[in-house]
Amino acid sequence: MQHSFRFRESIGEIAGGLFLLALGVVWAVTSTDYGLIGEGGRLAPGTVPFTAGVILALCGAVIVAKGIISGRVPAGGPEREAEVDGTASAVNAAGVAPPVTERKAVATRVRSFPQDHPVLSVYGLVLIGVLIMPITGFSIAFALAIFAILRLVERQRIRTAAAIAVVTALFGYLLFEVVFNLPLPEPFFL
Amino acid sequence: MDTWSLIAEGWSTAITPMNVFFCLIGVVVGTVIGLLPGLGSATGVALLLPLTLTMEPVTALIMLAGIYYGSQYGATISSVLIGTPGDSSSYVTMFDGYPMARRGRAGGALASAAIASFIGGSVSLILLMVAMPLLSSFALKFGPPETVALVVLAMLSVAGFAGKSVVKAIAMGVFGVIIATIGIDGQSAIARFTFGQVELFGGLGLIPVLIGLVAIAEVLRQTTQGGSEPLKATWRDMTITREELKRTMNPSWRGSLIGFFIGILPGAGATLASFISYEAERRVMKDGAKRMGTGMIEGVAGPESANNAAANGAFVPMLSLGVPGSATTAILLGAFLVFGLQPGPLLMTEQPVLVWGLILSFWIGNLILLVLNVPLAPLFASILRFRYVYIYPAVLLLCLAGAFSAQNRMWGIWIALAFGAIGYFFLRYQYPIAPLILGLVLGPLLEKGLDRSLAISHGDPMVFFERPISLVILIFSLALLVLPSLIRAVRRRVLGVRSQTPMAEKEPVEVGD
Repeated sequence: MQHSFRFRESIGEIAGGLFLLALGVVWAVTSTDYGLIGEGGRLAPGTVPFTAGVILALCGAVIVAKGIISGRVPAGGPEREAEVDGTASAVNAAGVAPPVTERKAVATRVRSFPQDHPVLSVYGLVLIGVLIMPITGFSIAFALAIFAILRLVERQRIRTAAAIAVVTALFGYLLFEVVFNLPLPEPFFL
Repeated sequence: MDTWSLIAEGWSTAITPMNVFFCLIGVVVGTVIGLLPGLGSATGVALLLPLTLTMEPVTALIMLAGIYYGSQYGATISSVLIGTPGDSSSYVTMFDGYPMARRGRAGGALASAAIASFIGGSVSLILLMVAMPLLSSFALKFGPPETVALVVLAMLSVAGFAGKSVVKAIAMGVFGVIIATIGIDGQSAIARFTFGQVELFGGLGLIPVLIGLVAIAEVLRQTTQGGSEPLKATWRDMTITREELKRTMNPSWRGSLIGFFIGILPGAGATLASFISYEAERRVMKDGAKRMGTGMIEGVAGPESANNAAANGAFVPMLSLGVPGSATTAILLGAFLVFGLQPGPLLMTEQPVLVWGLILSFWIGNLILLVLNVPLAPLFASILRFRYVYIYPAVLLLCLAGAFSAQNRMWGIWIALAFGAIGYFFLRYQYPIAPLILGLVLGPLLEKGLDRSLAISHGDPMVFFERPISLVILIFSLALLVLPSLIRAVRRRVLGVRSQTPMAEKEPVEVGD
C-alpha cells in the first residue's frame, strides 16, 4: 500500500520527542561528571540525573517513533485523517471521548488549534515588554505590552486597549506594591 | 495533647477574623478563577502563591486551599450556564446541569450544586478527622524506603490516570525530576547542571516554573480559543424549589462517601470521583439509563458532592504522607515547602495546630461558598459575559509580577516565560502537565529517600522489597497502573448512556484537580 506522510500533524510530535531525547542525552552524559556510584553503594550526585536522563531519552525515542508511524497514512484518505484527528484529540484533556453529536464540533475546534500566530505574537510582545522592563520599570513596560497585544493581536480600539492596559497595570501596582508590599522592578531613573 | 484538644485549638486558629477573611478572599477568587474557562484550580493556586509570601503560613495555606475548592464551584457555574466546564472535575456536572439550565432551571442546578458541595465538604471533614490521626500514627512507622515507595506510587498513579499516552506521562514525570536536579545537590553540596551560571545555584525556583507551566501556557492556549455565549440567568431563575432540594439530599450523601474514598487515593482525584458518583446515580435512579443526561438534578448533586469530598480527601495523603494526589495538591505541597514546612508523617506531630486549622478552614470555606453562591450565583454568572480578551491581561500581570516577586529578580520572569513556552508546547501536543509538577515537587524527596535507603542497606537495592510496607506500596503502585483502563471502561459506559448533551466549547483543563 502507498503511504503519504502527514508532515504538519507529525512534526510537532517528532519535534517534542527529539527535544526530550536530546535533553535526556545531555542530562545522562553531563551526570557522569558528578559520579554515578557513591561510596558503599550509596547514591552519587550523578545517579538520579543519569537514570532520569536515560529514561527521558528512551521516552523521547518512543515518542519520535510513534510520531513517524502515525504520520504515515494511506494515500488519498483526507476524510479519514480529519476524523481520526478530531476524535483522538478530543479524548485528551478530560480523558473522555465526547459523544458522536459533539465530535464534528470538537474536530473543528481541534483543527483551529494549530493557528499559532496569535500565540507567537502575544508571546513576542510580552517578551519585548520584559526586555524593556529594566529601563521603564514593570508597570510601564507591562502597560505598553498589553496595549500592543490588545491593539495589534486582538484588534481592539485604541481607547479600549489603552484603558485596559492602564487599569491592569495600576491594579498590579496597587496589589503587589501597596497591598502585599512585594516590590516590582522600578524604572532605571528611580 | 489529645486529638480533640488539638482540633479545638485548630478551630480557634481557623476562626480568627484574619483567617476567615483570607478564606473568604480565597473562595471568592477561586470561584471567579474556576468559572473562567481555562483557568483551573492549579492555575489559580500557582498564580496567587506569590501573593501569600508575606503572610503567616497558616493564613496563606487557608487562602490557597480556599482557591482550590472555590474554583471547583466556579467551574460548576460555567458547566451549568455555558456547557463549558472550567475544570475537568465539573465535566460530569454539565451532562445534566446544562440541560437543566436550558429548561430555565439554572438556579435549581446551581443551588443544588452549592448544597451538595457543602454536604460533600462537611461529610469529608468528619472522615478527615477520623482518618488523619490514624494514618499519621501509621505513617510514623515509615522510613526512607517507604517514602521512596510512596513517591513512586504518587508518580505512577498520576501517570496512569494522566491520559491516553502513558509514555508521555512518564516522560513528563521524569522531566519534572530532571528540572528538580538543577542547582546545589542537597546531599553532596555539589552544583549540578548550573553550567557556570550563579543564578542556577539555587535551582530554577518552584514558583516561576509553576507559573510558566500552568498559567502562562494556559493564557497562550486561550488566545487560540473562541469565546462562548452564556445563558442569561436572572435572579428569579436562581431559586431552588422544595422538590429539587429534597432530590438533592440522597445523591449528596452518596457522592460525599464515594468522593472521599476516591479522593484519598493518590492520582485518582476529583474528576474520577465525579464520574463514579454519576454512574452510581444512574444505577440508583429508576430508568436511570434513559433519564440521566436529560436534566436530572441527581446528576448534578451526586458529582458535585463527590468532587468536593474528593478535593478534601486528597489532603489526607498530602498532609499525612507528604504525597500529593493531583497537580493542584502538588502545587499546594510546593507552597508548604516554600513556607519551610515539610509535609509528611511528622507534620501532624510538629505542626498540629496548623494542620487542624487548615482542615477546619475547609468547612468554613464551604459554608462561605454556600452562603455566597446561592444568592450571588447570577452575579458570578455575569462574569461569564466578559470576553477573555478583557481577562487575560490581568492573568498575565499576575504571572509576571508573581514570578518576579517569588525571587525578587528578573530571573524569575525569564524562567516563567521559558516554561510558559515549554508548557504551551506540551499542552498543544497533549503532554499531561500533572506528572511533571509531581516530578518537580517530589524529585528532591525521591533522591533524598533513595540515598538514605541505600545508606541503611549498605547499598543493597533489595531494601525496597524486603520491608513489608514498602513492598505493599510498590505492588499497589503497579496495580494502579492497571486501574485506569478499568476507569476508562466506566467512563465509556457513562458516556454511552448520555442522550442529547450540550456542546463543549473547549476541553476541560487536564491539570485541574
